[in-house]
Amino acid sequence: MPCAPFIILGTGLLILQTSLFPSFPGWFSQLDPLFVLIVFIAIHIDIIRGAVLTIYFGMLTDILTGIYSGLHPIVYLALLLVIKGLSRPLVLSESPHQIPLVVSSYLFTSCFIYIITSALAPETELLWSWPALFIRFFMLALITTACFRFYSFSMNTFNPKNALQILIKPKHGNRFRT
Amino acid sequence: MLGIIITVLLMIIVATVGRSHFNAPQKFGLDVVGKGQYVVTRIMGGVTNIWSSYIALWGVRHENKLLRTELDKSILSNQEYREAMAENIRLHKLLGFKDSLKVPTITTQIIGRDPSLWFHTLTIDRGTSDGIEKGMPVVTVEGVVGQILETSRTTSKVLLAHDQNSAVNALIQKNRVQGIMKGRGSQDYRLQYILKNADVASGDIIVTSGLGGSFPKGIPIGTVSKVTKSKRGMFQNIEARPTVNFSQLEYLIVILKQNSLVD
Repeated sequence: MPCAPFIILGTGLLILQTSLFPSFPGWFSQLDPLFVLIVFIAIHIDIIRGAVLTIYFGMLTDILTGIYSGLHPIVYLALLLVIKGLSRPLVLSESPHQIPLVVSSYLFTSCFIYIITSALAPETELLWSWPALFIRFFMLALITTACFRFYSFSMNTFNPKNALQILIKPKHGNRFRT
Repeated sequence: MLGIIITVLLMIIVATVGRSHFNAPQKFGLDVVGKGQYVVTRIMGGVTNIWSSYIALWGVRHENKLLRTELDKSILSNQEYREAMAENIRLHKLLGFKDSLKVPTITTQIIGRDPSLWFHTLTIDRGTSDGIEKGMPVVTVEGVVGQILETSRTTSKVLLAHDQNSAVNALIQKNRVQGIMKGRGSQDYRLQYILKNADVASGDIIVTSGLGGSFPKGIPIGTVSKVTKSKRGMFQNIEARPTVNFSQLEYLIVILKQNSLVD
């Protein structure tokens, strides 16, 4: 699976998240399909390409959000490594694990950001809010299954092997039978 | 036989001519024919009614469709009119405020918002090509919004004043006591370094002090909402509400400077 389709997809999602979604009413303004994409990449893409993609998304996120450059690439890379490490003993790609995995990944990421920023600027303590976090968890849980299906579909569609199979697919029936 | 029939018919005709009332055979014939007419009339009436109703329904449906389209158009144009009115009022205020500032300014529109849970930034549609530089103050009619954090050629990132990483030199308007207005990450501020002997009460207005050269003096930042004095320490704990509603921002003013504020 090449990285380009994911790069285009992730970039589009980030643009939507920063421009369109904030105008949505209530909790829907906090939809985060890009984070689900990062978890999806961590599960389904090999570690090298996964690292390239997560670093790219981290850098892109740094541009549009936050104030510390390099924070998001580190956090997303750490998340990738943790998920890769966990996916060996556990079957994380199975669908029942998707929602708990995404939610726990978000909690991990939040803790990581909180710890790093507290270390970088101890005088500016971040506001840790469980209610706000739970709303995020809920919204992530709501979209995870649909997002995973869509990303799987995209991955299969843009996979060169599948594309080649479609092109060289033999016609049905025995054309030489008399 | 034919002669007998013709004779009977002639007798009946002669007998009925000049009578004012129907005789029995006439009544019977009328009954029978009348019943038939009634049935046919009812059927025809029913068919006509159904047909006319169907045709009318068709017309009503068509008319309803047209009226709905007209209504939608009217609602849309009404919304556009209201939106244009609201925007006009907003821009009018903004223009008035812009003219009142003695420093050069530039009006910008918000094109993106920070989706993160932890930071509070915005993206605006002006960049270095418009003269915007890092550190420039961003305000609106209501008061201080934040300052420029990063710039590109056509866009800039604004750090909002209520972010934890933001700090603005401020003073209490009524007694000119100076402090630093820090963001808390939530929708309010904390005014720091105000001595315990200073007279501060809920409702006091806080404005920029002009110190540091970043913000012009006298721009509203917030209103004191809570004052507490702990036993320890030299300073009061002062919480303040922003004058700006950060969730309803659309257009902003960037105050340009001749020299860069941050190198």
